[in-house]
Amino acid sequence: MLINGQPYPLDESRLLSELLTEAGYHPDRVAVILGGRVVPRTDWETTAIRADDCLEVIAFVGGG
Amino acid sequence: MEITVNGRRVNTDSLRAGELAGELAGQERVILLRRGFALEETAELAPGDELQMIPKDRLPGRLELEAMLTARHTPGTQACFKAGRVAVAGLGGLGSHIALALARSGVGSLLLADFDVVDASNLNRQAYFVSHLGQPKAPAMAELIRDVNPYVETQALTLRLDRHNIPHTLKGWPIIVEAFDRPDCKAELVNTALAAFPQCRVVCASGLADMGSANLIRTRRLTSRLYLCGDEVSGAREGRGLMAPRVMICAGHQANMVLRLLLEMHEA
Repeated sequence: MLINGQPYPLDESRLLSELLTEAGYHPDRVAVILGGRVVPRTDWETTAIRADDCLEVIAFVGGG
Repeated sequence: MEITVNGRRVNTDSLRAGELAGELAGQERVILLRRGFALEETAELAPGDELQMIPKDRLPGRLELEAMLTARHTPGTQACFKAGRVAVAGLGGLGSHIALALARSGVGSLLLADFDVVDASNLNRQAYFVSHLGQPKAPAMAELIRDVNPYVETQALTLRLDRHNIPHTLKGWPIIVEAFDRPDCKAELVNTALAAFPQCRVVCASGLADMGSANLIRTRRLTSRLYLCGDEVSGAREGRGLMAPRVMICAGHQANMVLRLLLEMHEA
């Protein structure tokens, strides 16, 4: 699978919530785009990510 | 010749803009605009010209001001801006400049939300003045907007937006601008608003601190309903401050994307 265009090793499908933590993101600072839409946070624990998925993870940085 | 001035037909013998100004306004200083552009006094007039005449030294009335905005802007844009309703969430460095840019453009209705109070450390990059120190930002911004365009409807909310109050506070606002400071608050607004409102569009920001090139700040369309402005990496932290120009550039990107959306221009 790809995260932000970079290959990410995934042997078997994984829940989005687990994947984010495993890949080193702060889950409370991101928005996740899959299939052209932002995945609602309430769906993170039920959304399975498969080897052919392309995720875009927007990791917000501070300042405003 | 017959021309139109502020929507009214005028028969005039004046051949140049300066003469016409004298004929119509007497001693009052005015500016004459034709197709979005200010005319020199020596500019020649032509039959059928559609001109706007705006007083320079007093606040124009609502219709005059609207005519001025219409005249100064790209033709055809003003009606869309005037019909626009935009919620600006956060009124710090980003939001204060975004709200002012939208007000200057004549966006009809703005929701202004921030929990915070103007303090001296804000003045390096936020749109406030010394006279606002100690005031809550939302009413201070509404006051600034009144000084720019008193005909913009503003709703000032002193409130910390979060996942619990966003669904009812921002309900019915078709365009939401995320202009918060903290990364978790940014993510919370984007995620909550997109999930709660199936039609709304969100313009958010990430990466505007420090002294990197202005050219690294850009707008990206992430989904059909989400736009992101910033360089996406330059977070504010110790040793990496927030300075007015890059903050304003990013705010300009966000405000411009909002205006584009009001014109149904969907590409970044």
